[in-house]
Amino acid sequence: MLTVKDLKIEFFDHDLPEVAVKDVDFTIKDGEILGIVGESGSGKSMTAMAIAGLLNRKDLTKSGMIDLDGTDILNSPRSKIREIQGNEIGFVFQDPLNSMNPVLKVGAQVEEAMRIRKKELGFSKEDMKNRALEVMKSVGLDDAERIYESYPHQISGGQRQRAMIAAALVLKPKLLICDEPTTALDVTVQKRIIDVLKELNQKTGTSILFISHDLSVIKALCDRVVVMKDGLVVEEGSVKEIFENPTKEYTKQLIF
Amino acid sequence: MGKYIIKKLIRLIITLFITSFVIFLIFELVPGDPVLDKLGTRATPELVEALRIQYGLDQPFILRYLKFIGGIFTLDFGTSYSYGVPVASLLKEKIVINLFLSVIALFFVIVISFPLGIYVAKHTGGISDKIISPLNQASMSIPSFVLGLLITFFFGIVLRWFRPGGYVSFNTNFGGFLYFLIFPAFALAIPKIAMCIRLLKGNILEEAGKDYSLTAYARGNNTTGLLYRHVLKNAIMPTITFIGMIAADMICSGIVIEQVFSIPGLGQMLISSISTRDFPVVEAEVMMIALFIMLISFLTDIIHALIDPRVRI
Repeated sequence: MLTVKDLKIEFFDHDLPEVAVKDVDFTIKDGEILGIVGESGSGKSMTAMAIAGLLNRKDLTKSGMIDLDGTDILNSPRSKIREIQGNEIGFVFQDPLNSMNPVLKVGAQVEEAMRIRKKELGFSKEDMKNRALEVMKSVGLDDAERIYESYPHQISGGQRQRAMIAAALVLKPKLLICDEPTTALDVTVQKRIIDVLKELNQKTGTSILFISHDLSVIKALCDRVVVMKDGLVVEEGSVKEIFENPTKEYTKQLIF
Repeated sequence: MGKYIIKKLIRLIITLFITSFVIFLIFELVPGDPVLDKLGTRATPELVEALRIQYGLDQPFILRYLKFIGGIFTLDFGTSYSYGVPVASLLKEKIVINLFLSVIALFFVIVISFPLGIYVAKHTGGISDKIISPLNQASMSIPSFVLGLLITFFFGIVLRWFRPGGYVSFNTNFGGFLYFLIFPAFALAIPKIAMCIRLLKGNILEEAGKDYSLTAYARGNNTTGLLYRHVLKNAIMPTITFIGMIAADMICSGIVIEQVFSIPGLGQMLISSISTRDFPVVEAEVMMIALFIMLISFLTDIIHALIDPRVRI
């Protein structure tokens, strides 16, 4: 479904090119959960942002190909990418507090991907609210009606991250990208968020790209893993292979 | 929200009491005796005593203060020492002039700086930015009274859009009064407009770089959608605070601008009443200015709470 080929991202620091990501190749199949693991600065977030079409900074140069069911995200115009964002790709960020707009109600933020496409979808206000409540309940927000009317500062961190997942899923995307979604949360909340993602994958078959530096989380959730270091892919394989039989020295260091 | 407003109202009333007390106390402590000032060389102990009783200065401090407080609510500030007429009738017209001057200037600030600030933020680095930024810098560094002189020269003498020094009273011609005030109000507004544009632009760019903006992009927003739906509500907050402060400053800068445009406003009155120790007039004027500032900051608080739910606690 998603193919990343020869992805290279460079940025310019005082006119000197600096490689952030190089020679990155991997694929995600339908219904698969792929984990990318690596320390900070390994280029894993950069890769995720590139897939979501969020790298628009002028000081960046990108080459290679990111193919999502026939659309080359890396080389498409902005208008084409906007159609995909929030619609075919959902994105969940690390910090649920900062990634929510403090002055908008949670419900409005969950609905937003629909609201942007209101005309094409032919949704009324009612339709959007119903869909928002439905998806909020599906990610474990039992108190969806109240949270819909709340502001981000009025709900807990775990609820916020669930709401963010709901917002990303509201248009049933094919691919959900989660960039360290549990890092800013307590361990118990972390576990519940992982369960939500797992259940979602099993029920709807949504593919998930899960970025983390935490191997235990990756092990609990993913089917396959890509290990990254300094912008390069070190090793790739199924969770079982990587954890039981790592071939590269760096992977061994990460595990033990 | 109701609770928040009540809380702010209570605070407003407390501030009112503290400010009025400080103002009253200061004029109690200021050197100079209004009675001796008025009588001059004619002062005999009998005359001084008689005038003291007439002004009510023989009464204890606290009693006179309570009378002053009562006066704030009934708009009765006693009788002017030098003119012998009620202070309220003396100040009524002047306060109207300054109020209109400030409100028109504020109107200019809001109407000009908001669209321009948003436009410049949206086109950062573009031609409009390159033209407006240095222009901003220049207008920020020129004081209002110099701008007032320039405006008088250009619009008054060269273009003849108005007659310099030809103030029109609002009693005789309200339209003409407003028209005349446009020019001093503009002089007052220009430096503030420049500051607001810069502040708003900076805040918009800052908010657009935050995580929630990236999230909004990830949902398929375009730049316009991001700006109007997400960024503006957050970015506008510091500018609103700033406009509240400007409003307070307008009254004070207005006192100078009045002189430049020969407007018989509060400023001339304030200066003459200080030099003649006409304390009832000075106290009333300072209290009115303070009241205006307090009301503006109350309003700013309410607007803040309307925009940002986190404030309504």
